[in-house]
Amino acid sequence: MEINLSDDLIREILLRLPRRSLARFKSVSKPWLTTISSPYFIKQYDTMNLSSFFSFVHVDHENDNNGFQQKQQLYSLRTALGTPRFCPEIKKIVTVDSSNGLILYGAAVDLKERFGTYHSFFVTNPQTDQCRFLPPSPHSVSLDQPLPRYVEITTGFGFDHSSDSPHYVVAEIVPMDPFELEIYSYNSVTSAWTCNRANLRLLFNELEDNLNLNLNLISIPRFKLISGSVFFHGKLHWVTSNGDVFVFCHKKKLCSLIQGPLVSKMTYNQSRNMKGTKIARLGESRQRLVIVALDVGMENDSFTFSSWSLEDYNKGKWVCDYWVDVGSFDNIVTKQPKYLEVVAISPLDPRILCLNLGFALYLYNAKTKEVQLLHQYKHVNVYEYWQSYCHHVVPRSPPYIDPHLYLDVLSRERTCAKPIEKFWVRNGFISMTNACYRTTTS
Amino acid sequence: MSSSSTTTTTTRLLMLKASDGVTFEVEEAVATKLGAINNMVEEEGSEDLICLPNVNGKFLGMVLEWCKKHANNNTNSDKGNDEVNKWWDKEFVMDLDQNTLYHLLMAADYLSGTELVDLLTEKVASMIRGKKVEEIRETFKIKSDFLPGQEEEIRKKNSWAFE
Repeated sequence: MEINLSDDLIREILLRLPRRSLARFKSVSKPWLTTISSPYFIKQYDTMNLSSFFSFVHVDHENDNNGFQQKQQLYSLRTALGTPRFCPEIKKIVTVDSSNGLILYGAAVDLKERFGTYHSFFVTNPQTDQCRFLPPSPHSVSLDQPLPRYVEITTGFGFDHSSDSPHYVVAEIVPMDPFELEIYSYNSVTSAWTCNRANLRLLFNELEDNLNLNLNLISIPRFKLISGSVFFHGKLHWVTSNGDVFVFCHKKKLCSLIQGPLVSKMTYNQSRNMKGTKIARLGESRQRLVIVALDVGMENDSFTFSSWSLEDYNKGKWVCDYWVDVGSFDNIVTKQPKYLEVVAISPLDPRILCLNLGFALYLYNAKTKEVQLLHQYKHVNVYEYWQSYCHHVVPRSPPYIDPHLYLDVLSRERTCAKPIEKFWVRNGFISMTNACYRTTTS
Repeated sequence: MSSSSTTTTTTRLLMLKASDGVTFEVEEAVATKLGAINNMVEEEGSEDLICLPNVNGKFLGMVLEWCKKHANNNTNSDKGNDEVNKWWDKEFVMDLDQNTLYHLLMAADYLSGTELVDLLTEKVASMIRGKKVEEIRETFKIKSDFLPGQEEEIRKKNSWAFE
């Protein structure tokens, strides 16, 4: 019997392939080329493979004789999108953030004989396995003298793929003293880090003036940013531990604050041990900034989810989307979680959340209170509390750029499709020196 | 959430006849998991013998085996069903050789077993994702119809995918 798959079946199969395979299979025959290149196919492929929220990156840590190895995997609803390939010199990879289809990783790059170990960021396009190293940010150039442990650096990442000159920006916020921040930002157009300072007193005063309020700065708990930035309106946003939103505009190098919606000025965390914690997460849903807060009862016996949308960005007007008393988590998951974190908020509906319970990722619907297991971690170990996954934020359209061109359109930098180590040695250090020279302090 | 209040009336049996004359006796609830048979049952009503001239007995048997498992699993308790089905699906496609896989896919497609088609296309995709262009042509019996130079041009444009 002849194998003769109908065009429809071929199409169904092609829809389930990674982009890399598709690009290759364009040269199989004319009909295949036509199918794969047709706008209808591309659209269907994107809705199927990138439609989500369900898509996330997870770094799986696996112990072996040589210490530990890592396997990274990009998961989406239907298919594992692929396994990023990294050269062996890159160790301890953590997913930091994702924006419009690009993923920011942090890693220790081990070039012992020549240079020692460096901490570095790199950006990948999971559709193509392309990878770009960033020069080390000026404050982490030398790992011989690492920053003191108590300094909590918050990272932000945004990929502006829709402007005339697509670019990405990485920012590191370093608290210097209770009222002073240093902001290191990298822009792919200039390929350089710059440093700016922000005075929180001034920012709060500004906010007070705008709102005719007296915020009484002293009563505000220690200013802290919760990691997980949102790139929105061309600016980076973080939620602070008091529930406000900290904004950094990398173009103007300006910081500002948006007063948050959270009624009580409690201290919010990103996560951690559950009892009595208040967890906040910033996201984007239905084209608005959204804060989802979770209050955990003192006995781990009650959970309350609440969500606010920033209805008017310029006026800072928040609207409560919902307030749900979940009760105990027992009836939701069988294993009592010791750890909880809101990983992501659905871009389509703020009631749909992705939760990390330490041993697995769950999808939670605050309306129906239904829970769906998304991904069970293979190895739950000491790294349980490590941020080893992130929500893979999908590219937005229009305007539409073919995702495999993402890194190509970004800058005139040399494309680094695979030989990462070469790029690093050849260009990385050159860029690094540049970065140091170009660093400006305002 | 499907509220499965299955009031089990007397289960009707259907006879399915494959292209090579092999017949299968299956419960209606099982066979109607296949869209094509569901349509026939609804249209023809009383007819209990259904001829399927495009499906070989071997593959029809396999398709029905899959339907049976899924029909059974679904009538069991509500919880954990997805897990059981997933696990069973994995087993089902695990040891299929290429030839069987493609014929099974064609059979499932012909019988409009949407879920099974999904499962099998996923399997095919996982098998061919890393293949070379030449291997694809061989697998699917495709002849390159590009003009000289055209193929090289396309390859060049997508060179990142060949590294």
